[in-house]
Amino acid sequence: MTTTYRSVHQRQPRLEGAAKVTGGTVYTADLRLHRMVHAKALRAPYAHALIKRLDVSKARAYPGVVGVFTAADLPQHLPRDGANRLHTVLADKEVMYYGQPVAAVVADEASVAEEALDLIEVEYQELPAVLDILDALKQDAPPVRHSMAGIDRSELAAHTTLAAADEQTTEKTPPNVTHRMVWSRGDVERAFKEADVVVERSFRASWTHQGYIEPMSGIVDCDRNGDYTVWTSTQGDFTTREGLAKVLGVPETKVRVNFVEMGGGFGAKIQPFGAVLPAIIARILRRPVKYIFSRSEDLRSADPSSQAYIETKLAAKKDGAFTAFKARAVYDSGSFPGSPLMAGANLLGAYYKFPNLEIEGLEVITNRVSQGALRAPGTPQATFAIESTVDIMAKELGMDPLELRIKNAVTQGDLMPNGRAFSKIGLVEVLQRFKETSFWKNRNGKPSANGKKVGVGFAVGGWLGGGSPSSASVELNADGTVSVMVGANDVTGTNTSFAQIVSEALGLPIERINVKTGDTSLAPYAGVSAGSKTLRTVGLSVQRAAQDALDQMFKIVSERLECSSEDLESVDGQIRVKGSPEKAITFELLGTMSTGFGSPTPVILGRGNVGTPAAAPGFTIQGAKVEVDPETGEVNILDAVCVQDVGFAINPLSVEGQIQGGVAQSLGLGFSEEMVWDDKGVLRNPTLLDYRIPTALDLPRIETALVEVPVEGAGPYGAKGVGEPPIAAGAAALVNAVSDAVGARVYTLPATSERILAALGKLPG
Amino acid sequence: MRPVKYLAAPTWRDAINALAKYPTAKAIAGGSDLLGWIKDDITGAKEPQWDILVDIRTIKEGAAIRFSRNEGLRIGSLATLTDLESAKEVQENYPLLASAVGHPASPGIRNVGTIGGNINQRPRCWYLRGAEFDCYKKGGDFCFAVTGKNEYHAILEGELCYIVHPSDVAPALLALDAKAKILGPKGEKTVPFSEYFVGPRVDVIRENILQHDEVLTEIQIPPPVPSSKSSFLKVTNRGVYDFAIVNIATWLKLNNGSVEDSRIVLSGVAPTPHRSTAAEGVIKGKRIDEALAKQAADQALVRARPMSDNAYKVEIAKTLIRRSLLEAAGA
Ligand SMILES: Cc1cc2nc3c(=O)[nH]c(=O)nc-3n(C[C@H](O)[C@H](O)[C@H](O)COP(=O)(O)OP(=O)(O)OC[C@H]3O[C@@H](n4cnc5c(N)ncnc54)[C@H](O)[C@@H]3O)c2cc1C
Ligand code: SF4
Repeated sequence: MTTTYRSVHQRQPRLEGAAKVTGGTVYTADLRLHRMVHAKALRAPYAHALIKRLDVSKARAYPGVVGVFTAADLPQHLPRDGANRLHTVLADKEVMYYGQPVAAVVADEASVAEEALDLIEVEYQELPAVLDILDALKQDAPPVRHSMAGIDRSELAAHTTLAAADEQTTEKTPPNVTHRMVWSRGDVERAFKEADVVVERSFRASWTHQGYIEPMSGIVDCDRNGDYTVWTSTQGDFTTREGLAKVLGVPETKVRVNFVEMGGGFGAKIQPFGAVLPAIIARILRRPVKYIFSRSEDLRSADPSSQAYIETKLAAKKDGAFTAFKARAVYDSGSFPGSPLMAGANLLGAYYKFPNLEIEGLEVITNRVSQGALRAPGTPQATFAIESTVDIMAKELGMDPLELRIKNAVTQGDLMPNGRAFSKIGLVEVLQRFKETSFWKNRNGKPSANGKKVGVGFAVGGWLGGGSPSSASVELNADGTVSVMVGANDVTGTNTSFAQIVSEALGLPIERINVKTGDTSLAPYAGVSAGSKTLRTVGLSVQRAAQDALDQMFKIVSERLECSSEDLESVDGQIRVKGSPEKAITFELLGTMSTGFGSPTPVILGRGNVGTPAAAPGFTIQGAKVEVDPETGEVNILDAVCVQDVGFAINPLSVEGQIQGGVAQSLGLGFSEEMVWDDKGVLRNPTLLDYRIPTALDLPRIETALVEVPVEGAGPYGAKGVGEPPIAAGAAALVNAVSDAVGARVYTLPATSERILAALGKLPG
Repeated sequence: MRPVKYLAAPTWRDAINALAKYPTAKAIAGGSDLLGWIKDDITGAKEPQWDILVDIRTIKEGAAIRFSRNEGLRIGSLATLTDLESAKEVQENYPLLASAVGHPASPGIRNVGTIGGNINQRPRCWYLRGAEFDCYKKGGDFCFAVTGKNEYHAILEGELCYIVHPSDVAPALLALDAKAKILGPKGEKTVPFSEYFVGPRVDVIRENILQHDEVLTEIQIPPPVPSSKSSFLKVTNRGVYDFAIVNIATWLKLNNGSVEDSRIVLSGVAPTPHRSTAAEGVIKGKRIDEALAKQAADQALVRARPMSDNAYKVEIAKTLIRRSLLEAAGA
């Protein structure tokens, strides 16, 4: 039976979209406050050094400078061990990464603050820097930081929704290994002996940047009551409140974070890096402080995505059945622990049925800026490793790579590496649907010509999906319109989808519904907008709040019309008796009744609040067709597709947009995006010229195909997380396509001209 | 960005007077290169902080493009790359130039970027462009590219400094035998572009012969040569908004199908636009075919000395020479 929907499952353009594309939206950098001052940070030119002397007296004396701050000026309650990145606002004695803030100047004008930075005198003593991921594993490597005591592992735990056989680091652990874990089942060594084919390889994925348009930014005011007001580019107003309250040592009630539109985050803006420094200075100056990163500062000193080194060993029988998988995954967390090791290591072995499995995971720290989340953190790296390995296996077995994947794909009840069993998932459905895409049907369309080689590749990807408790309210206004309030930052069009959910539930046209993200002193709580969870968690609260409001209206109407609530329905802005549409009360009338002066009718205020809903892993298959010039190594992407199980597409338009954006980003990881540090740990490409995000000319039309395997209770109407799965597999698909085209394989991401020529054996040495 | 003083020059003469007067003044045309340079705070003992901008776009007639059969093409140095790309005289008579000016950066940057600015733009070495590296080119005493990351650096003619010339337009100008008209305090002079660019051996601080108080006012290209053929090719990592890994401008004069004369110029490989007389020698008097093109390409790179990370450029340069010869000759 197919249900018909009035509002959900319909293509709804973003309600706030017109202002965004016409330049009308206000972002943090656009805001100006009375008495506002500007902060600029002095950033360390070394990856690892001791600060021998720091003299800010000349900068303090510079006309227009309001204040100069060093670690000594930080709140005294913060631990001084540099254990947590958020608490390490300014370097204290030791610099651990290139670009680390050492001092901050505050002035009437940003340009004056910048000038005064030159007047700060710092004497550094350079220390050996650890940069290579394999060097960082060595027992005799120099320590990335002098004091390793008290490193905060809470962020790592946050990525780890599931318990692991976690062998805590011991004294014998090399100094820069901050975490080691092993998952195993069965007997891998025996399975390798008994296998018909074994494939063993190693892979590297580079550091990458999230590439959001709006750099890190924040404005914080502190009034004479010690109340803070914050405007910042963040994915979570409430998590920003929590982080700032901790750093400032004040109760959360003292911090009010306003919702401002954010120009992209992709995981980088989970932590309030743009707001901590201005908050601390505002506390001292009692003036609003504005702190905006330049593009170059953002590329150098934000929180980009980890590099990884992954070894794989895969065994199969002649018929293609996988019998064992062994892997070792090393993630580089930069100068603070907190890498997505667990998520990556788990997905590494989660796409296929492996009766025997052993995965060792290691996290190392290096003298680089610390890592942050990037859309399905840890997953593109892991997917590149496993999906390249599976492609090689198909070749060795002489099997069709798609059939091999279908044969081994996980289904409900199969185990992930961490020992948990999958609930209802749609991976097989996704793989079957792939054969019906026009990408698949046209895969042989363009033959190789002019010496260029055409190839097709694909890869499986997925994301298990995060979750957190949430709440929402739905209120009927005097004129019959409805106001919805949430605490979730709308970063992907979620408020539009919430409006659709309320419209569906109330039978009210979407034009009469207004969804707003409130500030943290007013809005109902929601967690950070990340982990592909906002729509499915907050959406459930919104759905419940709408139902609660409807129940309240039904109660009033049933009393007025002397009927039972069960006999009522809500259609086109009125509540009426089923079968007798003339017996109805409009939302307008209900609005007047519930707000009128002296009226006995209570205000209609629906409330929804839920805990973390059931997990809902979302799987994809991504395909790429490329044309490779084997003499220059240039790659031209001709076609791309992503088939994804989305559970239920509340707004297919934004779902497709999320998928296309994810695919675009994943292809960038595949062929062009890479942060390059030199041998001293200095970032060599802190510009968008040299850090190459793909442009419209680099990307093909991106086909999307939605598969809907809804999971009851996972999200409204069974919706799953959508934002993260589509970045997982694009890079792997692209590399598989290059290999199909030229018969040579690249083992390091991205697959640049140089690496392709090297793979083809065209370079000396 | 640090504050700067702005002066508008009504004439070329005013511009050079202002430059002569202020040692920290710099001519600004479209500003697409210079403003990035200033914002990135690139300074050193030999690289002052430019704090006076002398606007030359205010100069009347400075962007004129004129063509005549006898004298050839005269391009005011303030003509934008877009002006040139869309000028009929250029498209019809100098397809090589029309193609070259369509390659830099992006349409937005070509709309503001002038040909004078393109020719005189500063190199993109990522150590030079990083404020914390006091290298030879800024007056320091080290080249960080030698021990550091050098995948985009020179494979030919590097010495002390290993920058590559960044311009897509310059090789086309050399291939077309163009001349630069320069105005300075001592008056006007005309210099062929083959003598305009200087490498680190001559002067590690600058990339061309212009003195601080001189400006490039006009680019002169001789009349089109009958039975000449050309080709412009560029390899990048990304489809747009990217400097060349290697680019090449090839100009051939054919006589009964054989090469009578040629100019083969590459950028992205050496500190100046690199004219490959070695390749030209191989093809002189011969008919271009696959084997000859390959021989010329190999000969052109015999003296290549790749650094630790850029051997792939040798391969790409050879491929481009071969392809561009075949394309130009229609073989
Ligand atoms: C992101 C990006 C990508 C790019 N990619 C490419 C590319 O792929 N290929 C390529 O060839 N170029 C590329 N460029 C360079 C671009 O073409 C130049 O920035 C532009 O042409 C410079 O012109 P302008 O008028 O803006 O120069 P300005 O920035 O105004 O000036 C540049 C320099 O030239 C000097 N100057 C300008 N005019 C004169 C004159 N008449 N006489 C003496 N000195 C003068 C200035 O003093 C300054 O030092 C790129 C630039 C950017 C920003
Ligand atoms: S190549 Fe030239 S510009 Fe680059 S670091 Fe060396 S000396 Fe400086």
